[in-house]
Amino acid sequence: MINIINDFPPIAIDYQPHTVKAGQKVSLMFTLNIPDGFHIMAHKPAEEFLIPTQISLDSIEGVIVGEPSYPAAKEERVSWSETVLLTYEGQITIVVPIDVTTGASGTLALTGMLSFQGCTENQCLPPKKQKFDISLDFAP
Amino acid sequence: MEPEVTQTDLDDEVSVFEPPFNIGDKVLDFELSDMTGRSIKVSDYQGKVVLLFFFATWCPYCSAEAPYLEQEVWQKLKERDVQVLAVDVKENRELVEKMITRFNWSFPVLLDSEGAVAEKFAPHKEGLSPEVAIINAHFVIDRQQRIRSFDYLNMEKFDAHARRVVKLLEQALAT
Repeated sequence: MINIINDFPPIAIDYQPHTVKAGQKVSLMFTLNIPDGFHIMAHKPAEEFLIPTQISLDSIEGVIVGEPSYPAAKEERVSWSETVLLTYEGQITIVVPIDVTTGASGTLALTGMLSFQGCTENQCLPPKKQKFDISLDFAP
Repeated sequence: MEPEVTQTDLDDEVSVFEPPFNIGDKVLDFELSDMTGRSIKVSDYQGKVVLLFFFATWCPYCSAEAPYLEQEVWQKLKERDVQVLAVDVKENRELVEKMITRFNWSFPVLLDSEGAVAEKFAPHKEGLSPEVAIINAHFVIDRQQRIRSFDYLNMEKFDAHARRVVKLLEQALAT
């Protein structure tokens, strides 16, 4: 029997570093663990209307968020399509450069959004947006 | 000679689903706007064999099947009293327009913006939302507006070339 599901399970998101210095340019490395048996469309998917994986961080005062860098896609050949799908699966890393211009101390809280559309071997699920929070401590 | 595709074959593949109707039931009539704003009902096509196809632009299976729906189904069967009606589920017009342009679809594409029609045709399964379950479903409706066959997506036997859809339509035309 085919296992049909209704929703893409949450993608575990971790990030490094957790500590920044004021005035520092930092490459925030987001590690995404895509659940086993699932894949998501790459940042540049094979067809223009397939949903790209995108990560964003809300702008806050004192932090300039740069353009994310996405990993190379996996080429997925499927029996049912001439188009080679470009996907991510397993663990991937997305790098988001930030420029911390504030001189404040304490903790910096940022909210982010991961947008993606994923599939299993048996079905594809509607596009999804997953919100996440990060906090960066200021080093002295 | 190739064997007929029967509803039993299709049921075998989609046993996780409980459809909201039986084969031979009169199709539930509905009214949706096409891309030009024209109102279209299934009952407008009484006397024709109708292929009702539910899709979404984000669905890779739908994209894979899209050129064959135009070339192998619509272009080859439209002169033989087959009508293709594609129903987009809960997306905006601009996205759908892109898909139509990309695949040169020339059959009517209807916008089910609220998903109300999808809900009526989707299988019933607890915890499964209609807009997930209905994507890439095909319904063949005979000349008397009865449901002749239907299938919901099954990747194990998915045929992007729409060969089985053609066969089902041919069978409906022959009766």
